[in-house]
Amino acid sequence: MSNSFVSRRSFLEVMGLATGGMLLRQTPLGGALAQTADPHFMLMVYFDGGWDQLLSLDPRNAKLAQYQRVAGARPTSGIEPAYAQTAAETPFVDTVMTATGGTGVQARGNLTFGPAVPDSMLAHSSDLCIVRGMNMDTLTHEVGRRYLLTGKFPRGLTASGSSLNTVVTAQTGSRGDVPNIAIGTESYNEGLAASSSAIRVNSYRDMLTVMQPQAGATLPAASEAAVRNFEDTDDTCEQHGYDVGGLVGAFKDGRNMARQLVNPAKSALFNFAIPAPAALTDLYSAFSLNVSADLTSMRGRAALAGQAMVNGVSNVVAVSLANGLDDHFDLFNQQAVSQQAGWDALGRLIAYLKSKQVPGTSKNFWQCTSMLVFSEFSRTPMINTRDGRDHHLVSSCLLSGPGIKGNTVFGASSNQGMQVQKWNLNSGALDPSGGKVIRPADVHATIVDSMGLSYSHLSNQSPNLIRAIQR
Amino acid sequence: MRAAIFCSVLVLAACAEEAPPVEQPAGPALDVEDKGPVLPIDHPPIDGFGGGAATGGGAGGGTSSDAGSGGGGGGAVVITPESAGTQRLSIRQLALSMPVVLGGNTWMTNSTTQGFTARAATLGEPDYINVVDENLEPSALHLKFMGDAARDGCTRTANADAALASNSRVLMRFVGLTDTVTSNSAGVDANLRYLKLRFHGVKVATNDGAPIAGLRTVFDAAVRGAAGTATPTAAHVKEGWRSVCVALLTAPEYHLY
Repeated sequence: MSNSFVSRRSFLEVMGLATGGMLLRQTPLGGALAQTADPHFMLMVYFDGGWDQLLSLDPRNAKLAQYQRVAGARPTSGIEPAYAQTAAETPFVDTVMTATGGTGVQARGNLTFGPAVPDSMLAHSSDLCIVRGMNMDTLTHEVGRRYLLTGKFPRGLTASGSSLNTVVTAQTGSRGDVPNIAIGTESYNEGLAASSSAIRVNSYRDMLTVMQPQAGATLPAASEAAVRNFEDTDDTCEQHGYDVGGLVGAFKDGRNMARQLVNPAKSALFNFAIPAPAALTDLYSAFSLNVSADLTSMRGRAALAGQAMVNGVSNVVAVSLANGLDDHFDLFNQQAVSQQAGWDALGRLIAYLKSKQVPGTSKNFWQCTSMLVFSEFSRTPMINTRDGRDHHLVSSCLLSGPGIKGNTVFGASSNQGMQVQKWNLNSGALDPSGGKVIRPADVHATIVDSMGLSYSHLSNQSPNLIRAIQR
Repeated sequence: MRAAIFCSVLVLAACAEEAPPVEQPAGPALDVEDKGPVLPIDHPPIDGFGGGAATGGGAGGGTSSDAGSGGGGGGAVVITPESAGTQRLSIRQLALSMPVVLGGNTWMTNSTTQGFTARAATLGEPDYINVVDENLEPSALHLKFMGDAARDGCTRTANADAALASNSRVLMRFVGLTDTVTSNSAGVDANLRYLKLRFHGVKVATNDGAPIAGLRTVFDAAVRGAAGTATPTAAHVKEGWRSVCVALLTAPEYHLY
């Protein structure tokens, strides 16, 4: 070693520093140190049922011969966009087909989108990163959904670990009246503080119910104070006996947090009604909420999410913005309609977040928000005999955030049957021999790491960071 | 040369005859002696068998070393039974238990709809269509609604009690409708011991005031708060027992087992 250009001492010093740095990064302390001064916001958006990614995040040029049926024969590529059939039943897809000269592919910067993505979403493409060719490892709805919620492959149908929204809440600290809210979607907490658990609601009505005491079931102030004092000080032998695994502690934490939930003054933020209350006209305009049905639509859910984020109620929101995507039959109408409604709601939500400044900073909410948009898997690239599409393993997802490169596409499904391919995660280049297949755990680790947080909760999934999309 | 010697020693060691196993001293034998029927600790007597305090001499014939078996054990040694783990009551269990505890009353969200039915989806009760398993985490959302449930259910129970004979009442079984800590301290304590047993399944000895001290404070504070400077009336006392009921229903002892 003495004649080496690196001495034994300097080699060990560098290795020690590097190892220390890597270990520190994997700890909550390291995550905290890596945080920026700006507050963190997190948005998880779920499209329920398994999306047809040809209509949105992984389109194909429908004019190319390999994607068309010729004299009834299957397309040679094993991929059938079928945009023309969709356009025949869906006017807005027809409009896109005309505008794109029949390709159906909407290009914005480095990104391409299918015909179900509306202008309201395309407007934000410079901030977005599409990850394509992700292997979901399952064709079961519950498994795929829970896999992408937690980043850990479920145990049977049972979720393993905590949802990403819960992990982010736990690591960034609970802030707001309802720090973590799950709108129309599942959320899990395995071993994290009860205060980081999501409050699950389906609509603004649930939000009102949560934030208001039940009518006619309130105590006079003196009685309420006496009960609360009892709850705060009661410490019995029985409670110690029940406190196996900290359950009584979690119960008391949850009870304290439940008190914070009840905030009749702030609940007015969610008192959606027709006609619009004066304080909500700006919100109604942003989300085009005009009739009662709109209030519980996907735009209504997005409005609920936006209202919670910009008013200091929630820092972390998980929301389902599309359902009815499980089209095994007659796909040409409903799939595009449901996806378009979801993408439109999301586009409006992003625009709303861009329009509001985070108090105490010079940034808007969107600039401080990390986002993951996903579905449990995708649909087969070929139309089945019932004019539908079945479940397909290879899917896409959409990311964005302060630590994620915008206007970026990472990975691709193959042009023959939309199969997985291997990628160099650092350079983003196709690497069939030495590359890695992209998995949900990699995506989770990458977005958590991009927020300066620890992804050590995913260690048993051996995640690989997709460095190519991190800033 | 040195390596060859080392290898030789290893080979010799490997080929050496295995030493005879050292005989281990016999461990404690499992006591399989039949000691007759056994009831859990502090279980009420059944047909004259069992019963008695854990520190007293039960009828099960337990000795000081195995107190706990034999219907309440015997001797001074109290062995805490090992727990298989604790968990929160499910929504179904709560919906079934609350009317039992509240004498037929339960949580209603309006005059016709039961709270556990109206809020089933929000509370995550399985419908076995979309939701097939129940998250038993004591979440803030769950406990917010349990607070509503306690306040509503206890209000109904306290109102119903006022019209019942004392031996049929749920919340005011051992006190008069105007009894307070000042006017009938012993009666209030007896009633609190009864409520602690009814709601939490915890027996409080007559000479032990500590487990009910907090509840007595709740009752007294609520009555004083309602009455102000006036002499407490039945309505004020009812407010006190309603508050005690809420405190018992929102305690971990009610929700965990």
